[in-house]
Amino acid sequence: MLKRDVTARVFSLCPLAMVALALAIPACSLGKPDIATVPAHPTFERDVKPLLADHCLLCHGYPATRGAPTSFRLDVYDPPVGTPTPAAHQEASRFIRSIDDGKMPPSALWGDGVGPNGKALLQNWQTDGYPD
Amino acid sequence: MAASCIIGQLNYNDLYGGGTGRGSYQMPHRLLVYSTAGLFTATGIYALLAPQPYKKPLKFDTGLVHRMAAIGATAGMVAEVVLGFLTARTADSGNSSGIKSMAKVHDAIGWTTFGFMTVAGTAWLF
Repeated sequence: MLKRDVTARVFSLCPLAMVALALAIPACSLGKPDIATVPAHPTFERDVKPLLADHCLLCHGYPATRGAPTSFRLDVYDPPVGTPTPAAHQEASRFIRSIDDGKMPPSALWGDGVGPNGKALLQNWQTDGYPD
Repeated sequence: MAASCIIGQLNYNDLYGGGTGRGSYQMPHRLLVYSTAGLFTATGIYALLAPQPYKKPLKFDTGLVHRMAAIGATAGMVAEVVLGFLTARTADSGNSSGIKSMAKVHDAIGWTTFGFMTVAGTAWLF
């Protein structure tokens, strides 16, 4: 008798569990989609900055937010005159390595990073010497 | 739950309400909501496994109020877990679109759930 009651109660929770599951499924793809094409000779303003805006600037803008380090910023190529904080140009090799290693953005750990084309774009930018 | 709501509100104010944006309340909020969700689940399982009481006619009493409020709190808690996870995951991917709205809805449902839990707890006591 007791076992049947428990089973009935547990089954009564099924609709709730299904709603939760339906809501949870989109969680698998919350990031921005990968870029469609990889420019052979990307520049910061035209190609890299939009990629950073999609995946990095929520935290690594200026001022840094959400616990991101304040020691650098990625929203500009060079630091504005009179500001000492290193910008994207100076930090390029370091942040590209973090992205390649899957450490950034944080959700890259679950396969939701900048995408293969995004990585290829950054590698091309690095090969060309980080043009503005 | 009260601590989760208060720290969650401070977290919302910090990140979206013109605060410092440093994220100082993120980890405390995370730890508190894990604890709250764990305790709520344990209490729910305990209630589900309780023996069936004797049959009595359905009427508006503290028992019915407790059940209704507990169902509301459960729905709110499930929504909070899902929405909280979605908001954190979206932020972790760097995607800023819609994140403030998601956080606002999460905040509102959190306080509503706290209201349901208060009613359920009060009805259970009396």
